[in-house]
Amino acid sequence: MDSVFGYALKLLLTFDKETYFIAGLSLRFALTSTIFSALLSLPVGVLLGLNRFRGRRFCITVLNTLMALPTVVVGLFIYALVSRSGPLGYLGLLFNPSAVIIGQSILSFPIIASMVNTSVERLDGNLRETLVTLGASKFRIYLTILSEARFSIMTALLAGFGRVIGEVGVSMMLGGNIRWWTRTITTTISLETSKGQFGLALALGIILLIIAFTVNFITHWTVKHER
Amino acid sequence: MRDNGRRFGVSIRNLKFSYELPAGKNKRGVSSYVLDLEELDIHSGGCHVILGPNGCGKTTLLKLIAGLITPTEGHLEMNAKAVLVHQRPYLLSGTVYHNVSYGLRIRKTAKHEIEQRVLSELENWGLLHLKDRSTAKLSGGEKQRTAIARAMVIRPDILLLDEPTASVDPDNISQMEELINRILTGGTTVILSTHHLDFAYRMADSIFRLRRGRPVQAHENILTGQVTGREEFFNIFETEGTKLFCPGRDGHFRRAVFSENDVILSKELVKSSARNVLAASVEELIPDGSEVIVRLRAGFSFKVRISGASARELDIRPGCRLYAMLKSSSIGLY
Repeated sequence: MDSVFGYALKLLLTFDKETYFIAGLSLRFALTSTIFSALLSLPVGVLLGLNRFRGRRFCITVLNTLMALPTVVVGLFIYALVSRSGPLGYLGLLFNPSAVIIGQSILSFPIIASMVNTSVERLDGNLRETLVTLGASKFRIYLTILSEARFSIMTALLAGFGRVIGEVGVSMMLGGNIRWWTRTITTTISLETSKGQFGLALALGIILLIIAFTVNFITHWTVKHER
Repeated sequence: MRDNGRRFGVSIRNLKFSYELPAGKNKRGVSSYVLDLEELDIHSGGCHVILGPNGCGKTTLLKLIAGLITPTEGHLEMNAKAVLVHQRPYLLSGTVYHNVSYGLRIRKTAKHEIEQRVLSELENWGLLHLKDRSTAKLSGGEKQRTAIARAMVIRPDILLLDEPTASVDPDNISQMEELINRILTGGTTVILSTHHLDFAYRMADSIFRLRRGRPVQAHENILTGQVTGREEFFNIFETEGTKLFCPGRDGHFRRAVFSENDVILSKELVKSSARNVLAASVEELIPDGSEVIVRLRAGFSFKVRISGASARELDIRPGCRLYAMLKSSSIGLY
């Protein structure tokens, strides 16, 4: 086991090309999918948090249910859509980075939307009325609310990022774990472990832990700042 | 009434408001209207007070006037720019300056004009030294003043204040009154809600009473004037050239209030213990069930409620002269 640790450290300290490529790819997928997801989940979260309409509770329940959705189930649904025989098969997305990014975006959508909804809901009820009475347009109200809830939104985005950086189901099913193309930290760990080669898996595990620690540190810092 | 020369007003007809949907009835079939007003007109200029206990619909009425909510039924017409300051105002995160400049920034006002107007408003409200302070570090009173400055900087026609004394400690209420008077002097109409009777009497040019969302008739006469002297144990309160003997309390008073039920009317001058005997002429008679409200003028205008039988026996008609007797102890000074 000592030699495995030693090999893992060697990979990390000698800046092994493949190890850092895989880590970089994982970060790229997770960041891109979080950004794409935020484009839709932020407005949805704010609108749910701000408006009272029939069916709102149902929407929130659906979001909360989707938060707990196993990653392989999301992978399965997207697979069915983008596989050659699926309705979007002609786009040729399967086993491409775009398929992984789409899957991860869908995965982080409910967690970001739900957390943004809660943080907007938690904002003082007088905020919106204050902005209306001061003459703010609908778009300006939206921007100001985003600004007022910025620390909570940051936390929601980090939670969304945390959800996708550590997932394996979507990356494996939609990316296909293709070397130098769609192989991520988690799919590599899974593969290397099954092969009985723990060195690279451990090195990537350490990187994942560092990422998780950094995300948690930033989350803690933003929550502290919010208070 | 303080007139600002600008002509606008709020006109309410058959207005009903319910927070529940569908409107009108709640789940138990009971009427869910939190506000039910047949008629209300608020004219431009002066301070108009909505008075009533907690939960009577004051805030809802202010929100309707501010246009933040729309009537479930009926009409509300207003041709003026109104800004509402909440009881517990929400201040944006950032500095006091950032907050007060908000309304001008969203109007894309020129930067130098924003600076000039905001600094002038901060000075008006005694906030200049706090301009760079974070709103999280302000006291309750400072927050309130920041919110009012933020509303005033966009120069509204009507300033709506929801319970402005709620987060102000009793010692600072007079300071709040002084600040509201300054707003009025500047020409802005103020409509405020309160459940403090004393505060209402001191501030109001007109009072609208609410109870459980319905209007309640006001039975008092509110006179604006000042104490001009003292005689024996009495303060002499002068209003529109007429002097009234009032209780001899110390203090700075600008309002004298007495109930329409505390005045005795007679055709002839009778010797009585009442210190105030006013020769008055009848302007109007308003029947109200078995009673009659007599509107009189004795320098100032006031109303007296008497029974229909008394009105008939005294043969009271518009234009006739009467003596109105009022005990000094029936007058409250505010």
